[in-house]
Amino acid sequence: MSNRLLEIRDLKMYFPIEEGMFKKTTNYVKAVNGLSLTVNKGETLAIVGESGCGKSTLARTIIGLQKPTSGEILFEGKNILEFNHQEMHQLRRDIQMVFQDPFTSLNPRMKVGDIIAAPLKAYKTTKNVKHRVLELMELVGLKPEYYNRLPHEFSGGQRQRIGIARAIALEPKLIICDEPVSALDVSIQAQVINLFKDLQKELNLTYLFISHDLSVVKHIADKVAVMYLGKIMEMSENETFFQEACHPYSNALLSAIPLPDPEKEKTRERIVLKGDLPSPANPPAGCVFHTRCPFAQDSCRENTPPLEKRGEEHFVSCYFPVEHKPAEKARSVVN
Amino acid sequence: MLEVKNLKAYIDVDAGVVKAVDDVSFSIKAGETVGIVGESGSGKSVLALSLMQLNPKPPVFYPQGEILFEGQNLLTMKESELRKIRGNKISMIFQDPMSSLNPIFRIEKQLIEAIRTHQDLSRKDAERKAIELLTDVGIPDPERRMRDYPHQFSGGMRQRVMIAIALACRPKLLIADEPTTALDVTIQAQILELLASIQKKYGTAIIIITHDLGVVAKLADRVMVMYSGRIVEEGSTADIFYRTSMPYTWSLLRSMPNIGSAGNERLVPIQGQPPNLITPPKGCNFNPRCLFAGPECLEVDPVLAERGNGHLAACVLSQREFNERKRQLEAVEREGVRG
Repeated sequence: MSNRLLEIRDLKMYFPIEEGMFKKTTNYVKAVNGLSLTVNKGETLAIVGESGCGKSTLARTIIGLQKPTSGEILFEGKNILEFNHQEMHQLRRDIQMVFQDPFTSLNPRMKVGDIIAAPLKAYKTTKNVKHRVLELMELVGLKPEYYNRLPHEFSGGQRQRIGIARAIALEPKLIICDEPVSALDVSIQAQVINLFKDLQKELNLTYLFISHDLSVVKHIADKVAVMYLGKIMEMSENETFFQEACHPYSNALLSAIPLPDPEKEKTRERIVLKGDLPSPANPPAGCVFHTRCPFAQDSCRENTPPLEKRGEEHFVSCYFPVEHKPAEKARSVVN
Repeated sequence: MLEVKNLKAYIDVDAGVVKAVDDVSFSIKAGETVGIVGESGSGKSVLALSLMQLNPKPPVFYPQGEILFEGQNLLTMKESELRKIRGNKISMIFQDPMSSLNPIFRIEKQLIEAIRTHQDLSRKDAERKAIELLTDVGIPDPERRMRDYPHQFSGGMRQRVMIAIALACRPKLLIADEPTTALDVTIQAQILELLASIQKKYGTAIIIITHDLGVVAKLADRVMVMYSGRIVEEGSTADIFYRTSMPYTWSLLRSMPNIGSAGNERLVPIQGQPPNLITPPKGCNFNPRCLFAGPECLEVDPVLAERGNGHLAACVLSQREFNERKRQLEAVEREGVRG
């Protein structure tokens, strides 16, 4: 389909663990372990997962910062792993990134104007760089008088705006946002989330939005993919996910988020997971989630459930998905 | 049990004096859970450290106020006496469990030290007690895990160890400063359950400091909302969430992403930045960001006033005026969305 911007097929990214004097490889950290997904033009796909699930590794692999062990990454139908130098140069223009930490991702010695101008100069897209920078600054809500200031003069939210202006400077086709709001305060978080949404509408951007916070994801994503130990557990459209997520892990994540509403908080049912995330160097056999899953059966320990279609745009990798009873669904609609 | 009266904690910096805690009064009853909510820079951590007298002096100084714990003023107490209270009657857990445990000692040593500092127990008894504590906080196989070093524990497990150390002497008051911020959501849920169960089992009063209103909704009986060094609203959890009286609290609730909300509707952020605490704005500290600020707010600095049933709010608007303004604004916003 022409609408597909990014397609990832069976991607694996293993990091060797080296031991001993001769750096013998004894094992691999399987950070991304057989992952497939597609991102369509103009939509926001959120990748959700806890720390160590491989979501940042996925991002780094897509922008070509590391070479995957196996698999394909198709950008506009072409496999970027086979790109030559010139094609890579073009790709780096088409895919941009916004980072989590607005303090370390901006050069402290560069002025705001120069930071935003850097990609423009590198790709020589425009003669009048300053004019374009001011245009970008206005777009992300920065005042023109900030042009000559240094990053340390700004708060976290403002710095994130600088990072966003830099990312959109070359009119990229895809922006990968790696936890872009998790370092910000609540009141500022909402400002930045709204900015992402406005820019998407205005510039027809596509986002791959990586986050551990499902409540943020709910407000920005069109589709949600849940990752656990380098694999996708469940993927669906936003609304479907928040109403009828059926992977036990998705449900555990949803019920782990405390609601800012004391009455609901006291009455709702929850799945509390036991234990910690297993090591990605030694993932459990069968379904990777079985060690923490409250519904695990013998078959889950032996076989790996495939990512199966369950509904329109809804995929689940589980043998015993949580059933949402029609009555329960109706009640949640009434509420 | 704990009573704080008109406490000021200022920080002396090159650019001037930061009014980190500015005239704060409140009290904590035995066995209750109180949430202190605020954004970074609102002074909540300085307040928490003041209660333990752990702020570095200088640059922090206390120009005014009293912190009465069981009738004794901690502000005027000698260091040697403070040591008998700290970690014994009042203890604290911090955001980052890795940097609050000593990386070069086994968990065993750190736990037993905490126990034997305040209790006259033999090594054997202290060891038995340590195992008991680790079992209490849900660490599997405690006899073996005791011999491990902090780096051998995961983030959630480290926080459990911190809680075990904090509980070593059955404190009357436990101060938890952002205890789950560094943890993943599923681990956060485990730690919050643990804190709730400890509270039930031992009747320990808990002060939980957080920026997450969800955490407060889950755990707290009472909530204090801090903004730029002051408490701007205080009340039962239901008062704060359902009968909000202060525009800041209300704005904060509106700006929170919420998975319980209907669709993926637009969030309503609070415009602007938190104020500079060296030269706070004239009048009400929140007026530059407040949607209801009138000319009066630029002049009058509102104090906490009773709104019924122990619910306090610092705003010039009465509850009726506030509700009325809120309704008008929401009507306008709905109109705006449709148009």
